[in-house]
Amino acid sequence: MTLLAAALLGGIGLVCALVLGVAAMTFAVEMDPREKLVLDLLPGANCGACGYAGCAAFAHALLENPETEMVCPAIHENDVKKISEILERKLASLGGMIASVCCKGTVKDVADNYIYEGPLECRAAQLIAGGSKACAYGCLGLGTCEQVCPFDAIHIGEDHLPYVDKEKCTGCGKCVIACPRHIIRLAPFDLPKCEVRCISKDSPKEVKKICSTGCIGCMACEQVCPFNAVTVMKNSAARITHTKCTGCGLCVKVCPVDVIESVIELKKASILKDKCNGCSICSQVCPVDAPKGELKNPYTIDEAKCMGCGICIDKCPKKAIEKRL
Amino acid sequence: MHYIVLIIGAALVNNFVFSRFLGICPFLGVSRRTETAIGMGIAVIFVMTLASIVTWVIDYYLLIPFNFVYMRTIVFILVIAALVQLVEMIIQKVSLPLYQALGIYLPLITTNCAVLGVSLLNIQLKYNLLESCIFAIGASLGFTMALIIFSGIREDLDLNDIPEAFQGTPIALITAGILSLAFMGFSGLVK
Repeated sequence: MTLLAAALLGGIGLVCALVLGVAAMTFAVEMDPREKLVLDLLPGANCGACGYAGCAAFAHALLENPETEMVCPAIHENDVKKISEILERKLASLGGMIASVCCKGTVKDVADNYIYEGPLECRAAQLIAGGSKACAYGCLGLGTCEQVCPFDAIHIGEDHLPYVDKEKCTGCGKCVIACPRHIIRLAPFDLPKCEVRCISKDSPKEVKKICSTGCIGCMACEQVCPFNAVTVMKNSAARITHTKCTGCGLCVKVCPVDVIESVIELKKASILKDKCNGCSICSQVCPVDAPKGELKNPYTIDEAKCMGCGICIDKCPKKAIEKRL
Repeated sequence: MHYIVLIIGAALVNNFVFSRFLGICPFLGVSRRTETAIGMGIAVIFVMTLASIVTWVIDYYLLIPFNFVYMRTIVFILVIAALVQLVEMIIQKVSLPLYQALGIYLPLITTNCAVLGVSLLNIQLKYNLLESCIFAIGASLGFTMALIIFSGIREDLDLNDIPEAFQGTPIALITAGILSLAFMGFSGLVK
C-alpha cells in the first residue's frame, strides 16, 4: 500500500515533469542570451524598487529600450559596469552613494563647553545647551550614527570620531538623518578624491580658538589647486568640487590644520626612458619638483616627492610618462 | 441563483482573506501599491480557477477510485506547482502582453495557500466540477477585492503621520484587522 502510494505520487511527479519538459521545448521563447546574463547580475530580490515587476522585467526593459536607465538601487557598482559592458552602452549607477563624515575634531583637538554625563546619544546631548563640544559643527562622538546604521558600516573609533566602512556602507542615509549636527553627508561612491573634514561656519578666529584642526579659511588650498577645484568662501569651510578634483593631493599637503584628507591612494608617475627626449616640460609643470634630469637626457621621477597628481602625464608631448602599476 | 449565491458566499461572506485567513502573505506583501495589487489579483483569479478544475479532476478520477484520499494535500501541492509553471510557459509563448502584465506574480502564486485552500475546500464541501469552478472564481474575486481595498488604504496610510512604533507592518496588520471586522458584517447573508 505504501509502495503504491509512493508510486502514485512519483507517477504524478513524473507526468508533471514530462509535461513541463515537453512544454518547455514546445513553448520555448527565444530569448536574447544577453538578457540572461543581465538578469544574473541584477540582485534578484524582485523588490520592485526599480518600478518594474521584478528583476526579469527590468532586465528585459534594459535590453529592449536603449533609453532605460540603471534605476536599481540595490545593485553593486561592479555589476553596473559589467552590465554596461554586456549592453555596450554606459550606464550611470543610481546608487553608489557612501556616507562621508565631515569632522576631524577629536576630544584633544576641540575644547569642551561642559562635561556631558547623560545618555550616550548625540540627539540627547544636542538638546542640552547645544551639545558639549565648543564647536557647534563638531562631532559629539556618542555614536548615534553607529546605533542607527542597519549595515554595521559606521563605527566610532578610539578617537571618538565615526569611521565609515566602505565595503559595508550602502548609502542608505540613515546616519545622515540621525546626526543632530549634520556632519555626515552622502557622496557618490567613486567621485570624491579629497575631502574637507570640516563644515564650520564660524569665523576663522573663532575656529582657531576652539579647534586645532578646523578649517580657518586661509585659502592656501584654493591657491595651490591646479584645477580650481577648491573654493573658500567667507565664514565657511573650504569646499571641493568633486567633479573637478583629480585627487592630486596638493591641498592635503599645504593645509596648515590638516583638515583635508586624501580619500584615494594615487599611483605615482614613472618616465619611460626610451620615449623621453628630455624636453623638461614635466619638470616645469610639476607642482612638487619631482622630475629630475638634464636637458636632452631622459628624466627620472623622484618617488619620494611625486604625489601622483598626473599633471605631467597630460602635458608630456612624447607620452613618455605612465602611472606606476 | 444557486451559482450567484455561491459567488457572493465565497467573495463576501466567507472572504478568503478576511474570514478564512488564507493567503495572508501575498495580502501583506503585494498590497503596497494598487497597481501591483491588481496584477496579483488577476493572476490569482486565473490560477485559482484553473487549479480548482485540475485538482477536482485528479481527486475524483485518481485519488478517490484508488483510495488515496489521505495524500490529497501533497498531491494538490505538487499539481498546483506544476500547473503554474506550465501556465507560465504557455502564456509566455501565446500571449506576451498577458505574460508581462502578470509578470512576477504568476510564479509567486505557486506558494499561495489560498489556491490550495480552494482546491481542498471544493472537495470538502462536495462541490461538483461546475460548482468548484464557480466557487474558485468567487473566492479569487474576493481575494482580489480584498487586495485592492487594502492597497488603497495603505497608499493613503503612507501619506499620514503614523507613530514611529506603528510604521510599516504593524499599522498594516491593525488595518487588516479592522477591515476583517468590517467584512464580518456580511456574515449570515448566505448560509
